[in-house]
Amino acid sequence: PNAPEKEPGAETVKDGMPVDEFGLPQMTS
Amino acid sequence: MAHWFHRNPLKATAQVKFDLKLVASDSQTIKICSDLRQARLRLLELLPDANHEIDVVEPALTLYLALLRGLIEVPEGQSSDWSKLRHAIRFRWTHSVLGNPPESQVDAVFELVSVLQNAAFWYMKHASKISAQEEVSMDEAKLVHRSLRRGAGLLKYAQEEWVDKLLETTPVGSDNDPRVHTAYLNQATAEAQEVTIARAIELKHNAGLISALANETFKLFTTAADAISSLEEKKFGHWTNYLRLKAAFYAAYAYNYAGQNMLNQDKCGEAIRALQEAKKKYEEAGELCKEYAKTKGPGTQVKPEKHEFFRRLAPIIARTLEKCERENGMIYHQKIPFDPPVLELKATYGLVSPDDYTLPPAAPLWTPVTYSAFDLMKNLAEDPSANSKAAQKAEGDLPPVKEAAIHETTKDHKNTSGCSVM
Repeated sequence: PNAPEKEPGAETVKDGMPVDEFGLPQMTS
Repeated sequence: MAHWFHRNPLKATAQVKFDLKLVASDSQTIKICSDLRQARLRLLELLPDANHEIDVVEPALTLYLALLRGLIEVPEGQSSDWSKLRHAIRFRWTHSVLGNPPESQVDAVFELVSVLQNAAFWYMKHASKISAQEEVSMDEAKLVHRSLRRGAGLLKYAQEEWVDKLLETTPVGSDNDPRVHTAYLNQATAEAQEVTIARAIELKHNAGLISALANETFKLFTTAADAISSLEEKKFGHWTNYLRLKAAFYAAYAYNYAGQNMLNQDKCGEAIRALQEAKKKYEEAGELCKEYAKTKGPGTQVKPEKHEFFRRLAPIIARTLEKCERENGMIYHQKIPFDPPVLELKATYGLVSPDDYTLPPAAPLWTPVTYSAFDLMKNLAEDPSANSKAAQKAEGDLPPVKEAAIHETTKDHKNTSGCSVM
């Protein structure tokens, strides 16, 4: 199987803030 | 691009035949022995080459561990005791920093711990291999991050779940030594955070966030270096210096971004002091790079000072410090504190934790029937080397593992952070 898109167990929201696969806040474009 | 991640040698091991004695000849039981032998050989064939894909190595690891599990635990439904075969086979393994003399134990748990550690080292080497490529895509950066977290997870699992179940005392400086474990675990975690820092810089996240993350990374590298500082200098000095230079480097990053953050808040005097500290830490990191290069010892010889991620910081510190001094002279007129600011911002985002790991279920071949076909008594007293120190000594050292070369680009990366893992 291909490598998963997201880290296993990676949070997508932290303290109400959407985060990326590295746990950094999502940047709005 | 010069090497960025220091890596210690893989553990070497001796061949294991798994010719366990049976009560009665049984095709399934014979197959267990043959599968164990082949699965171990296959895994040992793959681990010396960091160029393999995770999708190739991971199934080989899972297959072997599923088979090995039957030598450790009684098949399901019988009892929760140790397998009668746990002490039937002698395994020999070297330790990553201790050179060629192997440690031998008649214990399948020793084999399990050693395999998990070696697999963890492979993941760390694989991360290093990907990051050394000329072009590293975002998906590959995620793989670097994932590999380092997986490596940390395997080490954590081996140490926390299995090392204390070994019956023999852990040799000083071995991979089971808690100090060595702490160093590896913090190194892998810190290196995964390096990827996150580079990404945060690339995406122009706020300076406070980058400073806090760099400060946490500084702490991880410091913990790793401190853990092994009491071990033999000749063997551990080279690795310790790598960890120390990385700690100083991230302290420089932390103070630099703290300075930028303070300037953004019009705290120009404090910003100047933070940037002065960043400059000092950067110079310290440069000196430690020289120290690392001079120190002989096991492991790779990386050149962080040649890496663009290292080189880019000096002009940034100089430029920001110059700007702060100019603005303080013209606009702010603030006093410059004697002591550097305390980096008290706690990182909220981007902190790395090791991947959770658990053993795969025992291979389906292990059933109460196949288990009972092994003869306990005949499997205990077969190997004369198991109990004789002289016989063990006569076997001699194990040759180091011949590890496959990995391609390293000599070019800089064309991005903001200068880090290869973007």
